[in-house]
This record gives sequence, structure tokens and C-alpha cells, in this order.
Amino acid sequence: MSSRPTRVTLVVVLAGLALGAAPARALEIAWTGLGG
Amino acid sequence: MAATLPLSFELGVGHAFVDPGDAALARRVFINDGTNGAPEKSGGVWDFRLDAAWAVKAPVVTQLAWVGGVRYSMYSGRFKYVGGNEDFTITSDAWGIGVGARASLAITKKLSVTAMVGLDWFPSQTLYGHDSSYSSNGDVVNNGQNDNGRPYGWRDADKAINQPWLLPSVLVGMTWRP
Repeated sequence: MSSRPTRVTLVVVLAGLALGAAPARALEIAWTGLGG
Repeated sequence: MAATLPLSFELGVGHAFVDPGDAALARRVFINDGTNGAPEKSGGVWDFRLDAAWAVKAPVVTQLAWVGGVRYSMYSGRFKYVGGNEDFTITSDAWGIGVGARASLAITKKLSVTAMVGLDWFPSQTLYGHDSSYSSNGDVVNNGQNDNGRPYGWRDADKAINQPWLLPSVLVGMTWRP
């Protein structure tokens, strides 16, 4: 058995504004804590 | 030791609903000098990011991380002149880089409230529409011209279209620990 600890992956769901040439509604999903 | 470094990686996929730009100028720059019909427009940007995240200790919040990495954006804007027999789509796919910060505050063992700010930059772009294209490096294909006979260039296309260029963002949401 490997003794390497398992990294916990977090799922982030976000909503907000992208403030470029014209402000826009934005949605994002991200998977964090990969590797490391 | 690698296992003790506060460094990890993350993948993100996002979508923004955008005002695609100036319909009249887009038509002049990419299509023709017609003005008939009533303009309708809609646009969106898909973005993909791969970031390195560096966790740091901070007061109040459960977790704070700086992030930075590569970006890929896919812009599409549709302009339709109802009654004017004109319907065209402008697209631009671009690589970029970005940085940001993300803070989370745990509310249960599995759920956190999360806020993120970021700044993305897409330095090199090409806008495509119908049979024309305009690149930020100055390359143009089938460019039109204004009423004075001046050929349209990148600045005109960039002015007409709201593709991402320098893109700040502010997002709030939830983090779930499976």
C-alpha cells in the first residue's frame, strides 16, 4: 500500500462579474487542490 | 519536501454572457456598409484556466490562496439585423495569462463560502467574421473601409467587438469538499 497521503480535491462553484469591455455575468466551476 | 509545500494545481471552466459589441460598427468593419434592419445581438465567452495555487495563512478566512497560470478564451458574438437580411457571428479564440486570489470561509465541514478576484490578459488575438479577419499583430484579411476610404484595421475591429482583452473578474460562490 502506498503511504502517500491523498490530496483532497475541492469543487468551487462561483458566480459574479467579468469586468472587461462590458461588465458581464459570469459563472465558473473549478477543481482545486490537484496534485501538490 | 514536496508534500509540505502549500502548492497545488487547479482547473477552471467558466462562461460569461457578454454584450458582444457595437452592432453597427461590426457590420461596417466585417460585412458591408448596409444599415437596414433592426439590430439584435448576443454574445458569450467560454474560458478555461490551469493555475498553480499557493496557499498562505491569513486571519479570519479558513483558506487564502494566490493563483496564477494560463488561460484560453473562446469568444463568440452574434449580430442579427432583423428585416435587413444580415446575420453574422464574430469569433476570437485566444491564449492568455492570469493571476488572482481566492479566499474561503468554512461554514460546515464540507461547505465553504468562497470569493475570488482575478485579472486575465489576452495579449494576442484575431477577430474572425464572415470572410474577414483582423489580428492584433496588424494582419488583416478582406478588410472594409470607412466613408473616407480609410481601410479598417485592428483598432476598428477591436473597438467594434467586446472580446476579452484585459479582464478583471469578481466571483463569489461555494466550495464543496467531496
